[in-house]
Amino acid sequence: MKSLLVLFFIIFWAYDSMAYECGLYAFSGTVREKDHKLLLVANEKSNSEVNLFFDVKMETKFVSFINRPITVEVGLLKKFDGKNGFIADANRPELRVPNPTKGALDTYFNLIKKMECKE
Amino acid sequence: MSLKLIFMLSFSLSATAANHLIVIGGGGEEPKKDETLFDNTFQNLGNYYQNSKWQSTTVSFNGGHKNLDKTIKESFKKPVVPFTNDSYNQIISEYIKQIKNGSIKAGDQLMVYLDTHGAVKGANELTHSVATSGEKIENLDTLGSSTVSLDKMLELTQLAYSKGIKMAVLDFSCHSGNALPLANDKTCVITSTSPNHYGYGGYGTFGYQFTSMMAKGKNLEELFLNARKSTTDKSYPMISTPQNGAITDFEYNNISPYLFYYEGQSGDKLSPYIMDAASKDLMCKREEGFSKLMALINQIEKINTVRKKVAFVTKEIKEIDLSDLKQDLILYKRTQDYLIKTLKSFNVAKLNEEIEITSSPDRSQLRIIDKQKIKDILATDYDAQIKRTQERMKAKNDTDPSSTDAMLVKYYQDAKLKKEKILKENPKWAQIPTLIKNYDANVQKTEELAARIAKGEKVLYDALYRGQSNIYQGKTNPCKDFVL
Repeated sequence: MKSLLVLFFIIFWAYDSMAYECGLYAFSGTVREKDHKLLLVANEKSNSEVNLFFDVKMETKFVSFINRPITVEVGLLKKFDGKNGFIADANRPELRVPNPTKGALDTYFNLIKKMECKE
Repeated sequence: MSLKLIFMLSFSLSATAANHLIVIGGGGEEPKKDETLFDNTFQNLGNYYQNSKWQSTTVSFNGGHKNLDKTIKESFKKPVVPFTNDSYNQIISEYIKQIKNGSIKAGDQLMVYLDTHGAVKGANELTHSVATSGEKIENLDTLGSSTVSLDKMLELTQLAYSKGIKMAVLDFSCHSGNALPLANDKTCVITSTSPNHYGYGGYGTFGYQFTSMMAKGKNLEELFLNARKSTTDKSYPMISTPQNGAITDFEYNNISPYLFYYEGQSGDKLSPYIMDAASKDLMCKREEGFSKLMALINQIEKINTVRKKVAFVTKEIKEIDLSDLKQDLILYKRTQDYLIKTLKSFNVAKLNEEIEITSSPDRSQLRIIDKQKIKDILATDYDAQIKRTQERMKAKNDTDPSSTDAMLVKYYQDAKLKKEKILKENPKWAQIPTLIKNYDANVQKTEELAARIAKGEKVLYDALYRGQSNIYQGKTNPCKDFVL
């Protein structure tokens, strides 16, 4: 029982340490529509796919870019596991031209500035 | 007797002349990362350094990056001193002091090797600024907040000139052509690219080729020409000789737009050029420049064509064949013309104007209001957005007329009405979605075309440069006079 608890602790700790930092991120990916909602997707269809959701109020910023490749700076104030995150705020997106020769490396999701998390 | 004296004097001068080396740079890279963009080239320099003799060497190169630190310790046998604003100022002051107190004297050689990220020329700069350590650059054109200006080096080059010291400034950063004003009759400046093109790091780049060819007894002009010809990147390396100056007038200014390309937003020199050409109506100027460039290439081919007898038939053989370059230039010009024409038809300036969209004219707290660019409004299918939002409301049984989704529907309805009004006033803009699609498809090809043109340009430049050698024979040439 004790060893199970230790194992659980290790797994939980490892999972928690993998959580991404809160902060300002540079996002390069695509705006997609899923279940009548918009979301941002980077590293699409790869093991490291990142899905970023946001409040419907923020839709007006992204609505002109559905299914189009963009770059945008987004603020994430809740810790997330690197797969599914929630955007608190975003700048105006810019269209980008995808580079087909770069494959999965063409999109990214990089921390620019670390910020305090808010729950 | 006098000949003997001259011989003895020149021998004693060369015997006592000393070489001094300053190695700086490596800034603007992500802190705490083992690898940097400068590793390979820096290692080449380290290899050369181990087999050469320098009376004094100062190294202030990055810091905190495993590979670079290893080269500094093992090849240069120096401590790691990060390249900062302070270290830069201290090094320049120290060498100024050494020149003034005579530690570095007439006939000595002083080389400054700089490899880091470089910015475009600032508004009040003679040269340009380069990145220092500790902070990753934010932008390839303007860098970030940790930079130093090469203007500071002017005092050093001018002092060296007045004291008869041979100087060399090797600037291997982006936009390094901006460092050419540091040159004088005693100072040679070599740059890895032009004032308005990027430089590159890694195998096959100008910096890599140059440092791998560095060897005792070689002069800088010879090194530059050999390195430039073998470079495989998209840069435009320059040297502060009159030959380069003449090529700038005849070739560089006209070929420069065809070395621009699109590689994501951070490395995009093409879009600003296309926008500029579209908005300022530069088509005539472009045509004139292109005609001059093609005439120059044809002339170079003609000069370098020989008649040879092969099996009873006399054939004309091109010793310098630039057919591929001409073909690529024609192709890329056509692509750029298409892009310019497309953007002109967009009426670019007006498309960037913003219009207010709102869910309600009333100033209620619930209303959604913002400004959207005309081009974005035109690219949006608002009927689809209204339908999507209504389906979302239906899925969650949202019947509240003041809910966020209800407000969004009204917002999209307002946007739709405004889009219809814009199209009614400008019926041609209805074609824009198709034009954008075609524009995107064309822009993607630009990097490959620019790379091919850059390759051909290296051959053209070499022919143009070497073709002028007779004109400048016997004239002062600090790049030829600086011998490793």
